[in-house]
Amino acid sequence: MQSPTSRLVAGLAFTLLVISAYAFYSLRSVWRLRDTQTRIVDRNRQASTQLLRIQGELNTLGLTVREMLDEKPDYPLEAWQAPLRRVRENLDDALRREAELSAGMRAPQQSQYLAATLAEFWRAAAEAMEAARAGDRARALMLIRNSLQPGLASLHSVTARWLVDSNDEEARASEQVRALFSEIERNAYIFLALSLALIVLTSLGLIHSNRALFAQLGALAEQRSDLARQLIATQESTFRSISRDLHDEFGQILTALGALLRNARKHAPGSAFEEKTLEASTIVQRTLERIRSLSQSLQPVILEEQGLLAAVEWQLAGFERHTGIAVRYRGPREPVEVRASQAIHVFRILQESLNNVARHAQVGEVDVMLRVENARLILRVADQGTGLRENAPQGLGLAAMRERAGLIDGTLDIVSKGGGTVVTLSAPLALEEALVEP
Amino acid sequence: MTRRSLLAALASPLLAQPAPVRLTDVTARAGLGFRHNSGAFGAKYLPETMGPGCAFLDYDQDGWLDILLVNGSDWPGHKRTRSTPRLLRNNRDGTFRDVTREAGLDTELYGLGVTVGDFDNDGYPDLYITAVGQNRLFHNNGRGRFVDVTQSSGLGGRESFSTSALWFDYDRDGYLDLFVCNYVRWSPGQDVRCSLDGKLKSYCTPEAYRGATCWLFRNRRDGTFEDVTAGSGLFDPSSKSLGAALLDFDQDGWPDLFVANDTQPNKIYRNNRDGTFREMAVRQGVAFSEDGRVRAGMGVDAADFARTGYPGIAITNFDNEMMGLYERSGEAYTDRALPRGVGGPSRDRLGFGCLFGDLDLDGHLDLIVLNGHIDDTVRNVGRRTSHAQVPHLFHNDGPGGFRDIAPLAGPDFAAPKIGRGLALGDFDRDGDLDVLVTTNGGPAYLYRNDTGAGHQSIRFRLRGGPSNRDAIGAVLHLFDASGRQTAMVKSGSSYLSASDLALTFGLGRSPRAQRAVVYWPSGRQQEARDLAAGRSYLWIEGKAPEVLTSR
Repeated sequence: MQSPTSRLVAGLAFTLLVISAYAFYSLRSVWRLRDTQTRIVDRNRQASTQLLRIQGELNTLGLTVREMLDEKPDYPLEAWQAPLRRVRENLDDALRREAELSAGMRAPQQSQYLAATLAEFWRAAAEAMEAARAGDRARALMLIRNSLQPGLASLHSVTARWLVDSNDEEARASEQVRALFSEIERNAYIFLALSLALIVLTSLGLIHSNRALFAQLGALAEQRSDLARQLIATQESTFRSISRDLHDEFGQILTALGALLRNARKHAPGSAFEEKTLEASTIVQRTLERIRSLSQSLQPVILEEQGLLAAVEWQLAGFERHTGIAVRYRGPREPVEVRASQAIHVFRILQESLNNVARHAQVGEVDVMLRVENARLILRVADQGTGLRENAPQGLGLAAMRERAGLIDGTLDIVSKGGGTVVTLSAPLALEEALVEP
Repeated sequence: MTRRSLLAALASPLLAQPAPVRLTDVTARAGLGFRHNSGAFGAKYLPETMGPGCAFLDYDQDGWLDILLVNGSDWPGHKRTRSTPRLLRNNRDGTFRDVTREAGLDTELYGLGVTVGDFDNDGYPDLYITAVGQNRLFHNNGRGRFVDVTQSSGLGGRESFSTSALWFDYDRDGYLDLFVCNYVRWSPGQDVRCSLDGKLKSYCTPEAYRGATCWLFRNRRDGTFEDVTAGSGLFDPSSKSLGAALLDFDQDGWPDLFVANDTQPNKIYRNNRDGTFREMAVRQGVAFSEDGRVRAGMGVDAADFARTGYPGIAITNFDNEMMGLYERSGEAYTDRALPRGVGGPSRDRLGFGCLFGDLDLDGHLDLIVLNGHIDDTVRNVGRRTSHAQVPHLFHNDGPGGFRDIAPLAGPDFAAPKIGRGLALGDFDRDGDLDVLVTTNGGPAYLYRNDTGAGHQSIRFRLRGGPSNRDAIGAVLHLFDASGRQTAMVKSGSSYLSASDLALTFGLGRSPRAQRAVVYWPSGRQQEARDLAAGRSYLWIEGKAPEVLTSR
């Protein structure tokens, strides 16, 4: 069976890839939009600001020229040299910046026309200032009226035209940005749909393969359970047969042997032979008891004959006797009839739990509880011992206990901490066949 | 969560910090008892909303700062009361006495601003009061009296709408010259009807009027002045100037000028060292906002608030425009109001007076800004603004920029007002800078600086000779453990107002300054070493600084 990890990792990687691709695409679109906006819209806005600045400077120039024609001036005409120079510098600066920003947006003839008009204006202004400085106020005023004022009018009309163009350009830019927005939005939807489809397909594939995997696992578990059931059944039948053989065959033989020895003893009373036969007879008797005990533990007849409760009490008494570990037992308040097929497994689980206590717990006493609660049979074996070691390999015993619990549709909880181990079996109570099958 | 509780929650980290500056309103205790008369009678004439200015000056040279409050007057034909400027003499006990009449200032005029300077180098500060109509020059005769010398000084015969003015020695001849800002060409007969809300008349913004050139008057050293506006290159009838600041932005030792214009590009005039100036605002990046628009420049101050050695510039503007906070980067200025934390808070206020001053004496110049709209109908237009507005007190956090702590400086200071004039000076001589405020149509306020941060100051009163006696234009570098601080002795700045000319440096907890270097306007350079904190020094040009027995 192939491990699912690689497929899961591949699925995750693919999903991440799709999400990353989507994120990258979105980011790239935003960058593109930003660049476009900066490039087109900001440039246009800045160019418009500069155009407005140019208009502002031309307005100042207009006011200046009008004031230069004032009949009763506070300052002589030549005082206007400084304001004129200032406007010129500012105008040149604004025109230079505007030209940089609107590069390629305007026919070169338009810029050349403005440059020529401006040059002519400043030439006339210089001439007027020159005349004013020379004391020829009349000529200066004539130049202002005939050259500066008309020049200013053309400059105004040129920049007004440029402002209109710039406005159109801005409208175009806005349209371009809007189109870009729509395109990116459409692409984003397509990309999102594609990504979602890919993620859904990947997920479906993973779900399908995982379901197959789980089905396989289920079948394996079933097989294993069957195997365990057969093993346990085989074990039980083997135990039963060995027990019967021990009881019937060896029991008979040993009983006969004991009778023979008793007879033989009668033939030589008071002799050394009698003493030896008595000794042999005792050994035979002890062996017989051991065999009976072994037979009982392999297949407790008491379980079949007197039921689970009696078998449990018998087992606990034997455990106490053999191990010296005191058992504190709490049995059910009412007598409980348990189906034999269930009783054997409960009994075996008890046996195995006690074995574990005897072998590993290093304690002087153990609590055993058996009761019926909500139509469930609960068996609990608790000790205050060393507890199971963490990461210790689970023995066959524990596995067999779990299998047995499974066979009677029960659950087996083993809680082990530093302060001891509690084994709890809980299984639905199966009543004696006779009671359920009238 | 209610809005109030949300605001309280947001403000709580701020409120949790101890206020670095505490300003206590001592107006009543000091006996200022002043109320500005704008002359308003309903016609809403433009000048009514502009004034008044104020000044800290020691007119009797007794070592204690006195106060001058400029006043408007009723308009012709609408006479109700008599109102004059007010001169208040410091009684040296936290109170002031009105000496207007005995000082000869009991003169009615529609005053707006004032600048203080000793133009004849006689040791007593003289006054130039700007007005609607004829500005006035008052000569201090040294015996507690001012004499109106407007006509005899050659400054008469000029009708104008003048605003801020400043004294400076642009030709470095040892005598103070006079720079005067003019706003617009206005007269009652030319008043235009404007409306903010479309119904009621409101005060106009200056677009409705033609600009007026600023003036430069050269001191002829004989008590008279010569109009050199045209020849100096300052002639500019398009400007609508409200604020002027003295600075040396090219650091050539010659005083340059910054002029804040309302709805016109600001101007920065570089001194060509030959009696002329060259306007460089566009090239220097200070003419417009960063997005290339003209703003409504009102008040201005220039000082080395970033401790780079170069003067930065703060300009107050209209609401929705933000203040400008220009820092020198390379060969030009950049408006860093937003990143420095000044732009955001000032966006919905209309600012007027603004001054840099180290109010908590931590060695970093703070920025104090007065706000107040021009018209009461602004409340009808639903903007997030009102007529009376809360001032700003931007605490300079050093590299972190500025933080508005006005609400923490005390409830008196943070109360909304129609702020206009602003001056700084230490009237109680406790070492820190106190704040004098005028409001349009309202009282003047005196705020005593009660900041108890345990910081000490060191103060220099410079006296020139051969430089001008007030040493205006002198630059002082002070070196202490924290580095270098730079300040210039300057008149002007703020809005319509004049601050004390002494230089106050905050030293924090440093016990002394290692070194002080003065660059006098005469070109002389002097150095002094090992100066104790908590002292005031009189530094006479050519001599070693001497400790004044009193501050």
